[in-house]
Amino acid sequence: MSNTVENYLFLGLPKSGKTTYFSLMAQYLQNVANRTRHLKFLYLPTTIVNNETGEEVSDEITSDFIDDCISRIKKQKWPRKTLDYESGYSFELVKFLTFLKKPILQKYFYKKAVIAYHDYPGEAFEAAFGVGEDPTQEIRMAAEDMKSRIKNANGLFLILDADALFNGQDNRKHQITLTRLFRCIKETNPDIKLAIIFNKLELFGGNELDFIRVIRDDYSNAFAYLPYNHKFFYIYPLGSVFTADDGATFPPKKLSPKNMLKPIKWMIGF
Amino acid sequence: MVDTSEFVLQALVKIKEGCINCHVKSGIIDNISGTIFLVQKIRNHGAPKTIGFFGAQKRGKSSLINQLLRCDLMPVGMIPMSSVVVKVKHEQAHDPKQFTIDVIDANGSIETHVVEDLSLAQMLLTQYGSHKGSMSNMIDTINVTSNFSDSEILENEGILVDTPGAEIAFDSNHATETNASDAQRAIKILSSTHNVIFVERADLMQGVNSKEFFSEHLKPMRPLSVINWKDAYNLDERHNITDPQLLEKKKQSCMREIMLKTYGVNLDRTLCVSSKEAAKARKNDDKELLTRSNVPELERRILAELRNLNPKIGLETCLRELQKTLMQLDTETAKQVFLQAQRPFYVMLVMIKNSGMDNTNIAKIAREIYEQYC
Repeated sequence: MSNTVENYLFLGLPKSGKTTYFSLMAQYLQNVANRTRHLKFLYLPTTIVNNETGEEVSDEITSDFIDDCISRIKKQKWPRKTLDYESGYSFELVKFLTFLKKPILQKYFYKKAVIAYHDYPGEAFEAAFGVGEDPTQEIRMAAEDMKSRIKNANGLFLILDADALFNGQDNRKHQITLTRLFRCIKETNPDIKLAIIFNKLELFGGNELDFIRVIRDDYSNAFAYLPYNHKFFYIYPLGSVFTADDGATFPPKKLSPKNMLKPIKWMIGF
Repeated sequence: MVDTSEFVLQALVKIKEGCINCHVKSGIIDNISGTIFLVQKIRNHGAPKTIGFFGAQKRGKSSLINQLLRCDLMPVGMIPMSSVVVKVKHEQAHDPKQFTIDVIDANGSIETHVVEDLSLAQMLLTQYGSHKGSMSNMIDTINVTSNFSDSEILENEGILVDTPGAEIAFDSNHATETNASDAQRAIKILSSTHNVIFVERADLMQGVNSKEFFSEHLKPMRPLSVINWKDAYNLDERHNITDPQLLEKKKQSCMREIMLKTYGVNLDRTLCVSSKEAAKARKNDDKELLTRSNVPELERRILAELRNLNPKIGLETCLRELQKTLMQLDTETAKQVFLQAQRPFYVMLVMIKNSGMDNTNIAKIAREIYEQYC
């Protein structure tokens, strides 16, 4: 173990369930870190630029954001919509070298992982990977920001909405976005670790489908460009969903997450 | 039995959204809303099954309820009678000669009266629950409990609910403070109703119009539309029909046509009845007249609706209705609107298969729909 800092990126098309997963995972990791001495969890401040004055300020928006998300989920409500991509959310996880279960030489031997989440608008994906037509200046900037983060990241958590994949909803958009994203990775950062996460599996009532086959069969172009260092994950951040009388689904009264930490364990190797 | 109702509900909601996005005819969307209403009630099948009678004043709701109860419990008369909500329910252990009447006022206080015969019960209902009585303004609901073993609907756990002309409560042109609270109460009654019976009167169908109330509040609730006092309807003189059976048929078809034009009702769920004829038939023990009154047919339909609240039967009805609705759309549109319902349908089929119910009608219809539109 050496004192390294690695950057990981949380990415997914809008409404793929990133916020719910990110906030529940952060809370879970924080709880784990609170119980162990060799792991440290820290929310990172976000730099916010005042558009009028150009002044940069640091603000602890991530912890407030996660608290709000968790509180809403506990009240059986979905998290609020995230801020724009520039105000990203991030946390840091540090693992120290241990001897007899105690951390030693903390200054010199640690491994730090920074996990950042930026909610890019759907059009930014199209612009970044060349699908959409005539993106605005703002979207073009978001697309460039996304591409540069991918280029510099050690790993990428790609969240996919299993419901949308199954229904074939936005099929073409998924097909093109995934293909171009994988191609972009191959060209700019071929060694990146890619965790492809099938989310919203709760909607399948515990009847898991072979989504790897769906990707292979229905998104064959994308599949062909898959970076070599990838792994598929099936996650259930909520465990189940509650269907209200109007047919809408909400978080359940009692959460029973499954497989939630598998992607991050594989990704950062803690 | 495995409970697939949540997935049927999710699928129907997605299909309705798809229909709205594809701008399909409003009648089709109304049908899907009705099916959604049924699933919602199936999911809540443990609750008491209320059958609410809605319609403008003087439509004969109370007299129709009397015929379904097979006794003259509800006050009926020349002036509008009902001014509060009256719920009638059966209790097997209750003495059939006694009536327990719970009078609930606006503050929620309950006053219970146990009366020994029908005429006393009727007198109390007139006093507390009709415009003839002096105390109706202070009363919110009246619950009447007895052993109504003559009424098949009540024996099957149905609760008959007589509502005062609720459309007045929703009339924005006459909004008052009292109206606002009446509207709240009417919405509360509507939300707890399992089966909606919309009552219109044969000779007043184009008169006072409850169209807005019907289309806004009742139509999405899969109502059974009843044209009462069919005997009061007279055909235009230019129809020169002498055969009584043919004449009756023609009259009913004209009445239903007017209902369709006025309210846009579902003709399959519209019935012409006469509570007057049924009362006369019962008095004279005239079985033929009773059948002609169509009240037994209404009773049969209500019983079928109650059976539909049983998940085993009701979900099959929902899927059949959905299949019928999707068939009204062209294949391309149907596939388009079905797109987002694929997942709930798939999950439902897997659940049915895993529970070994693969040979049931529900499984068969669900599979047919899935294979046709996927």
